[in-house]
Amino acid sequence: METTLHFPGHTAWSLAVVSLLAVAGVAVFLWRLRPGRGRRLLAGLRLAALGGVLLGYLQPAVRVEEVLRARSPVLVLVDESASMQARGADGQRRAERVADFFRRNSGWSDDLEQRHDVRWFACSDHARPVDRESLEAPLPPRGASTDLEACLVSAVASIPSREVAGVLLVTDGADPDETTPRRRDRPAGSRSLGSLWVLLASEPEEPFRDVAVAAVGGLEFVPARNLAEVRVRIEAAGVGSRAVTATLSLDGEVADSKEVRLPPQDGAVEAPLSFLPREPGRHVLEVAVPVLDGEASEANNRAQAAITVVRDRLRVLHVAGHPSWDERFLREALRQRRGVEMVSFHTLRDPEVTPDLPADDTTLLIPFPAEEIFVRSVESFDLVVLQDYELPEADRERFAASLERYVRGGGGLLFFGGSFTLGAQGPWPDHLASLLPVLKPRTPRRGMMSGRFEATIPIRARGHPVFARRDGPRSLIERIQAAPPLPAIHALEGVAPGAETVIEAVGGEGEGVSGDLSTDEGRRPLVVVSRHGKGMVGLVATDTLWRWAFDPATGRLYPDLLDGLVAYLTKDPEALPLRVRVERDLVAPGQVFGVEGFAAGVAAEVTARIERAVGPGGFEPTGVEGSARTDAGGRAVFRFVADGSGVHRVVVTARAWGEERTASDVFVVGPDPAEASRVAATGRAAQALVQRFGGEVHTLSAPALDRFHPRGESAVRTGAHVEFPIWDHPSVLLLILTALGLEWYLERRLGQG
Amino acid sequence: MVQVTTDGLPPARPDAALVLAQEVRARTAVQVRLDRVVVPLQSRAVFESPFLLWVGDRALPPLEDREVANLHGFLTAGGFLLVDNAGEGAGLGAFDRGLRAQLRRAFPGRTLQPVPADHVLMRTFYRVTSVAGRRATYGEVEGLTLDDRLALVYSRNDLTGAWSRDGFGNWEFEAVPGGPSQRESAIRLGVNLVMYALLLDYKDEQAHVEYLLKKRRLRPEDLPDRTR
Repeated sequence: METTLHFPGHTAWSLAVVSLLAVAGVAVFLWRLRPGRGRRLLAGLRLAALGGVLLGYLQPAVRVEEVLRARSPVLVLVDESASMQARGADGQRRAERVADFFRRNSGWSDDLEQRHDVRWFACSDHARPVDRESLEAPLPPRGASTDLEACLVSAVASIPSREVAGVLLVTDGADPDETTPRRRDRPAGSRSLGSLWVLLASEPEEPFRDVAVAAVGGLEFVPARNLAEVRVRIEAAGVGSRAVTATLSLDGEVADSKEVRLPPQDGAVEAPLSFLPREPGRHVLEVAVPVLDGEASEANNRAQAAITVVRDRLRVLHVAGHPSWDERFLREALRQRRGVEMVSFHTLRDPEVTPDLPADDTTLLIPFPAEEIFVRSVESFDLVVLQDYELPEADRERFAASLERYVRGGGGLLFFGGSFTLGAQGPWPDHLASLLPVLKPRTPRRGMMSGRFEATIPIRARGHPVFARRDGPRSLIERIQAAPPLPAIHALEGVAPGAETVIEAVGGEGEGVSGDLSTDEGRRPLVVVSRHGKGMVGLVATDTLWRWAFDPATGRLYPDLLDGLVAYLTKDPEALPLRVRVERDLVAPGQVFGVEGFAAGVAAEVTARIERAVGPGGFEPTGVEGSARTDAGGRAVFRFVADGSGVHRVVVTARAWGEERTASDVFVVGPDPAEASRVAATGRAAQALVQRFGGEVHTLSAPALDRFHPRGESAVRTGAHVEFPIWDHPSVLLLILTALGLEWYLERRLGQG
Repeated sequence: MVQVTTDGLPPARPDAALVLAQEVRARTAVQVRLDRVVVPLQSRAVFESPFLLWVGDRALPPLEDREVANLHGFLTAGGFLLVDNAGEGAGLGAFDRGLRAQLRRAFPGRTLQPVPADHVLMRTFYRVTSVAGRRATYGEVEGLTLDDRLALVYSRNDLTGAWSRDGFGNWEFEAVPGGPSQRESAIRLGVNLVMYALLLDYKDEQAHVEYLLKKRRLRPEDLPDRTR
């Protein structure tokens, strides 16, 4: 309890004014009194009367208030940012030094807790409460970056109604803010931090050796199948001039490497690296330099980023063996497809067929640039369409090998049949055997099979992504099955191992249908797809599909089917029935992030699980998973907390479209690149804090804890109080009247009037 | 190559399509069926072949509604129609007037327009500078454009007359006034018409191919070298 005199209804100003008036009045009274007997008595009486008037005017009361005495709050904040993993000259990590410090000074901590209300925090870009015991072990890296001021703000905000008595901040003194100051919407404010004691986990002038991939630039816009130039900045300190090899990997495969010479003094060097992104979507890019002996940090010798490769245009190479209606309608449909940039080559005249016709200037024929398109430029295309076309005989094997590399690397290849290819007018293209998704007929035959071939979709293929676009899979399937019969298809032995028939041709009558080439139940592969390395291959075993384009009754069947086929072969992410996207490329450890799954056209239960990378291309479950049902728009949203570090992926699974499908997206868990790379502990950020808030900076080895004296107890007013007025008693009035009466009597009696 | 007839009229220049098919086959890589096929315009069989030849040499009676619908459907679905006016004297004008009237029915608001000399049709295989047929009366052919492509080409120079052979393989008519060179020009125009129907503006595209390839050329020396 605390007792105070209280003047209700009066402010300090009004009290001051009344006091001044009272003093002035007394002075006038005293000045007017003549010297003589009873002067002092009269003055006393006048003062007593004035005091009584003041008492009545000010109406004082005695306030009895409840006040709690509490131990004052002290904040202990320990840096857990990535730079705390850097090693000192003794080989010990900064986080280990901090843990040692708290173990060594546990008695001091006990004492501090006895005297104060100690709040323990780990901090990076914000403070999070931790147990005191957890600080006696090295803290794993967490958070996006070091932001000591933001840490202080959030820690202080956790005790809104109390005055902070002191702050002990343990950090390594490395703060990216030194080089790239942050814009602060909410600065630390005016709340006092009491006694601020900063302890640095690294010693001043401590030898420091480090090579870091400091920045990887040029990844803002990465179009597929364009050579991407990457600007890599490598920073070195304390290692002298020496050559190191910078290596760039994409999805775990080395794409480029360059040897660069580090500067003789501490500084940076640029390493221009490049890679060819073949597929749109999110990919993991890593730039690494070797770890040298005695480096402060190995973690910053590699920089990982999840990059988004976009397909600005679909680049199609269309090579046709000869002009035909199938070629004409295919080319038109491809050209009309949104975002297609197409390069077409057609053999307008075959020298072997018309050897006597001179290529004079009456014709406008150009040599076919086979070397250019099949070797030099093939990688720049998303899809190569070979329509009724045989590779040039002269370099057939080399061109086939180039196409094989192209597909294995992620390219799309689409064969269209016809009278010049697939053994219809010559030998089977054995040089393409590894790429073709169909098998060579055991019995060679000339020409194609003719008759009436109805298209049908095998039951197992009805959920295939080829049919997943536009009006929904069922409608496209129905339209295909209702399409006019085709008059000719290729005679094939069947599909290659691993290939999948998505459209079959059934039945038929007339020439070529009977014989030993028919497959089970008269079903023959018409459209076949297969995976080949990272790429896709498709084959249309007819040159009469144009009839579906030309028949007005089929509507948009032909372009829709072609659209689905092209989207599937080029792995268009937007064409997949099940998709997933992590909201950020880079997620800080401990950060909450969103994942959005999308199931096209169906309501489905979608599960999502987080996996971490283990070696190139390999992933293992982390045990973190969730499930959600898609909303009306087909979306299912998940929230996860990032844990660990490095490359991760989220895998979503949905059972719909008659089967279970999965999709995945990659992301990187780690700090900001600047935090990861700049581990040099200058302590400048800590000094700036001390200059701003007052306090001292010391090191863990000489912490001067005996001088760390936060304020003692703090009073917390609960607001409960009782007031006793002391002016409204009748004796006050009696006092005034008595004083005034006596003063009047004596004044006349003593001759002072 | 299919010849179309209307209202039971016998096909004029019945061998011309076969001769043109033979020439296309001999001169280009196009695989052409060498059989004579004649289909009535009112038949759905017109949708079996996207290239139709229509030769007229006399007054054209009004087409039946079914014929107009097929003509419209054929051309808008992507088909190509070569119309040749083989008429002489009054027959030339009569067919001309009848054709234009029927086209107005099938494509209201659209009219035949002269095909400019620099149109890709004139260089789709041969560099063609003459549009003469058996005669060289008119210096241009006309066309109907749909969706940025020539869907119909109309010649009034009796183009098919220059292609026609008799049963012994001899040229049936003399090409006047140019003689053999005029006939060769007519055949080349015929080849270009077939190639245009198949390739449309492919030749225009070729002008950009070098640029497109150069723009994105990934030569081995440009690609990242893993061993350097």
